[in-house]
Amino acid sequence: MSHDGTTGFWDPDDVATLRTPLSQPVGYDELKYLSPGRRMTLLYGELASKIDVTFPDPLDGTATVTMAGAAIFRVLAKPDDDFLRQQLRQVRNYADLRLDRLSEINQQISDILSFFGAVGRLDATQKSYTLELLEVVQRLTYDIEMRVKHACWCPRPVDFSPYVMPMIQTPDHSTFPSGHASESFVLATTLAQCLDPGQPVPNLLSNWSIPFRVAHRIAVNRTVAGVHFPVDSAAGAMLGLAIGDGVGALGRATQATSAEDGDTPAMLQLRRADFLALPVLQDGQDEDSGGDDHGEVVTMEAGQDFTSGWLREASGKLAQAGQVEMPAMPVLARYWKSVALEWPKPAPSGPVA
Amino acid sequence: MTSGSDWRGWAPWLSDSVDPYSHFVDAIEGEGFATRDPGVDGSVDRLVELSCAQENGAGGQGQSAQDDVLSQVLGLIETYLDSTRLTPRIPDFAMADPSDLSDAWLPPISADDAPDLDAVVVGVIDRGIALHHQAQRLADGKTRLVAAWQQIADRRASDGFPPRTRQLPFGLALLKPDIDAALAHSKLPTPAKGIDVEAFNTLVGSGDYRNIRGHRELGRAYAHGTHVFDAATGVNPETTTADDEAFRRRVRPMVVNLPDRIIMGLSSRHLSYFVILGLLWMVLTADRYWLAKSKVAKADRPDPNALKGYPILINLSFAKQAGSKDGDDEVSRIIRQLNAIRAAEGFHPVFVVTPSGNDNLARGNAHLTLPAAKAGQQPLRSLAWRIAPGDQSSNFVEVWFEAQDLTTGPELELALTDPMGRVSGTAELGLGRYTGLGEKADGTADFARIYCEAKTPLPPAKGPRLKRYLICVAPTLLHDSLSPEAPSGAWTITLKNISKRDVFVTLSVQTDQSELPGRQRSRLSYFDEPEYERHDPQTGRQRDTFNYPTHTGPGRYPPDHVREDYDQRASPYTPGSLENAGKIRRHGTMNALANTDGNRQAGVTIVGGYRLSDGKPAPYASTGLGRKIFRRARSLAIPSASYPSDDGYAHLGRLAAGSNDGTVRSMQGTSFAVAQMTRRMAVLLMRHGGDAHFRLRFRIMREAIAAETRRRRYPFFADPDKVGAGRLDMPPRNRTPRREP
Repeated sequence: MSHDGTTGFWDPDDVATLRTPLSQPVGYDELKYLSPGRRMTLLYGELASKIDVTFPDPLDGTATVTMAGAAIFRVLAKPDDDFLRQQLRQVRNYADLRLDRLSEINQQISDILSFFGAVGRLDATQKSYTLELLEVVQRLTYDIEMRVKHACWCPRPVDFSPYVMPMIQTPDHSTFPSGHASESFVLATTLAQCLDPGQPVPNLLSNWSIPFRVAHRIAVNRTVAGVHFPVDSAAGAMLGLAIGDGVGALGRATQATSAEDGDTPAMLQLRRADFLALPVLQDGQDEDSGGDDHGEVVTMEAGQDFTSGWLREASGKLAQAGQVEMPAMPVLARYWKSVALEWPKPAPSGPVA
Repeated sequence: MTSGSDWRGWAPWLSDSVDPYSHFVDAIEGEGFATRDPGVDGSVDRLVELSCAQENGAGGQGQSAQDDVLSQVLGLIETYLDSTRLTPRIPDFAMADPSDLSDAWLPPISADDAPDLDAVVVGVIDRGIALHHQAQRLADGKTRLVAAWQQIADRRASDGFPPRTRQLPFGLALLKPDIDAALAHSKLPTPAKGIDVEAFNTLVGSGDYRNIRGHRELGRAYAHGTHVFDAATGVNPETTTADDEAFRRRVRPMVVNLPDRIIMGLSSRHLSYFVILGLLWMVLTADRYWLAKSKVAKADRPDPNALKGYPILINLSFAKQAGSKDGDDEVSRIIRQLNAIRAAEGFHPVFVVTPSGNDNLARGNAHLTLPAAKAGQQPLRSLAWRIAPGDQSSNFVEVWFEAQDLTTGPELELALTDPMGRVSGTAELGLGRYTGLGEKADGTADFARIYCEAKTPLPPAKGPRLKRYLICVAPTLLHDSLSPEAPSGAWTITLKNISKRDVFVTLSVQTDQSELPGRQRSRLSYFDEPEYERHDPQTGRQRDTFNYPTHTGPGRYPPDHVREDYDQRASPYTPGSLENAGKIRRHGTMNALANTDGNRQAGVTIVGGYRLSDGKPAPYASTGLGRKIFRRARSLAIPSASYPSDDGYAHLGRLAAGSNDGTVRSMQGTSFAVAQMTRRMAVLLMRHGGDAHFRLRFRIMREAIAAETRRRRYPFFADPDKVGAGRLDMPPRNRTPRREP
């Protein structure tokens, strides 16, 4: 109606009525021409196309997550019922902290990103690209973790006993691996790399930098709430760590690609976390000699707990996944460059956190 | 509701060796976790034998005068373990294996780890004490702690960590080198700073999520023990004044981390056991270090006539509501015996500091005087005792009165009527006997019992013989047991004097704590009568013991006419006064563990609480018995003095460390007033401990009196029944200073 009322007769061949458009939108290179939501969709699509989850059919409790064709996370064996039954003891003991953690747990049902806001001033004006990157990696991890959960389905604590009486609703999906742990650790890993871009992720975890402490607490709160076992958080943490490490590697590789190299493709070095829930020994079986014999495999025994010590030890067991050809990722390249500008350089003597 | 048999006739129990609380709870609540036979008691003889051999050398040729104090303390431990009726169930994971006890109670120590000879040892016995805080470090970053006993620590070794000291019958002892090793082991790699707290707590047995009864109080933001420990001994790491440096170096803490409330009993029935062993271990360890250090420094010791040993303060921020309250409980006896040993051997006395308690308004204390029976008349008094529905813990009332004659049975008959109207039989030959009400005539399904026994004071305690009725009622809600639940509602306690003399009776509801802070399983029972006013009908405010009339004149005490009115209102002896309206009293709610031993130097210092902003005594702070001293209550008349237990009208509690290093939390109660008193006493001992004639408690009392007469910002008089000699204060460590307008 507005058209009929305002334009009158129009001949598109009348050059006087035409204008010459810009060859590309303002802010095209930095993706600023898009709203944040659209921008994140681009990034998500680019990243999602490079990450996949595979598992055998029929399901056997194993799963592999690949990035750019290289495996970055593998579940070698999920915990069996005996394992989980032993860990019920820790679920019961952690329940003693429920009153203390009540408000955190309730908030973290649907929001964990806010808790990282205390780490590094995450606001939509000064850290807009960082926030968007974090939201994208969290969404990406959610998609991946759901497929891993399906492949490695395990019952929830309340499935073993009504005495668990979780303080929040038990979700419908598998307990293993923990989604909260996966997502909190991918956020922590990504954020830690923003705070201290020069340090490899295993070092950042080993140094127990603040983002990992926040992630650890979020993960443990799920055990306090009665909806997860410690092994769920352990595997979830490794998954999140692997994805965050991989995204960081991709991002850095996009910056390192040199125009002078011409047609020579850049190579990407990724790490891999292999997770193995050690089976509970039956009568007559030899005692397992522990993680040392498993080389670069992150293991957990039923009697172990998801502690800072376990995580820091696990940081030393990330294997090299081998070199792969760096795929073209123009959207991530622009994001990573913008993110780097939002963070101060660490002090010469050490990282900020 | 059960419809069982009536109360059974009285039957004996092994009253000499079985504590009636345990006799009842074992019958009703059953065992909650796996236990072992109390092998710890059976091995005590071996422990003492081995320890004496170690101290005396291979020949066992006799002890030096110095070491005699150690063997006497060990003897005290043995005697206590032999004589106590308390046998708590300690979980398997914390129990010693006899092969561990080759150096029982006496692990190898080094004089290098001993505090300097001018140190003051402050022992804190509590639950949830963090060992890693910066405020507990020396200038070199190592711990100030001399030693810590984690009483329910898992004795199974952590991989990669040096074995911890195992020479105690349960739990683990950590000496300074062990704590330093744990700190070093938990240090985060550079460039990160600090330690991995979770790893440290796991190593020292404070973060146990593996065992149901393990230590994990530090998982919560607030921990009672950490708060007390910090208030009593903490030094902020950034402070560098000379006084703080001296405090940091010379005040050396020791810690006993008590087990959880289930092991100690929700009624605190086993509290004494763990406290006494912890206290004696602290003294033993401190003396051993002093002896080792002084041997090395013998040539340099300035005054060979000075008191030996470190001055030792013990902070015990715990209270029990019910007890004999004659200053002759187990803990008081041990302290007295210990200090007698130390006096004879020329060692510093041990000072113990306890709270007056927080039970002033709990309606758990009642007094009544029953006149002598006359021909045809046997005076009768009844009191309602309310037990809540949904109460998952047992409830207890102790009824105490003086015994004229122990041979003819009680002079006071007691009858208990349950809410269903079933009345117990009265005592016939009650001493050493009990009666019960339950679903079966054979007593295997009781939900209520009455035990009767006598108590004779142990010299040098002075006081009359006492008799006690212990009334026990099962939980009103039980999920996991086949035992019957007790009916909830108003139980009635009826007392009848059948003797020829007036009988003064005290009734006290025993402590009944929840399993964890904030949990709702336990509900505190209380006495109920229409005469008791909980609130002022005009203002709606809860009634404290006193009304605190304004006094702005000179001197400590207000003019007679003001005071008379206030005393009349509060006095428990004046007919028609606030406190004498009925049987339930605020007067006499003092901590049953407290004892002042009259004017003795080395008794127990009792600390009351008040609000710092206006000086008003904390309404929950317990009240002494009153200025009219009763024979039995001589040692429990009033608190010694008071420290703030609240900061202001809108700032409840006092600030000190939270569970995590660097956090500050506010916690409320006389427990935290105790910590401030301990700190003040430590400062005084630092300054004057070398003076054998220094009277610490007198000094505190004089300071309190001087503070009262000097103070003008508090416009009203506070009765000694609540605040003792006076209201003391201490500059806050953790508070941002405000500039006065």
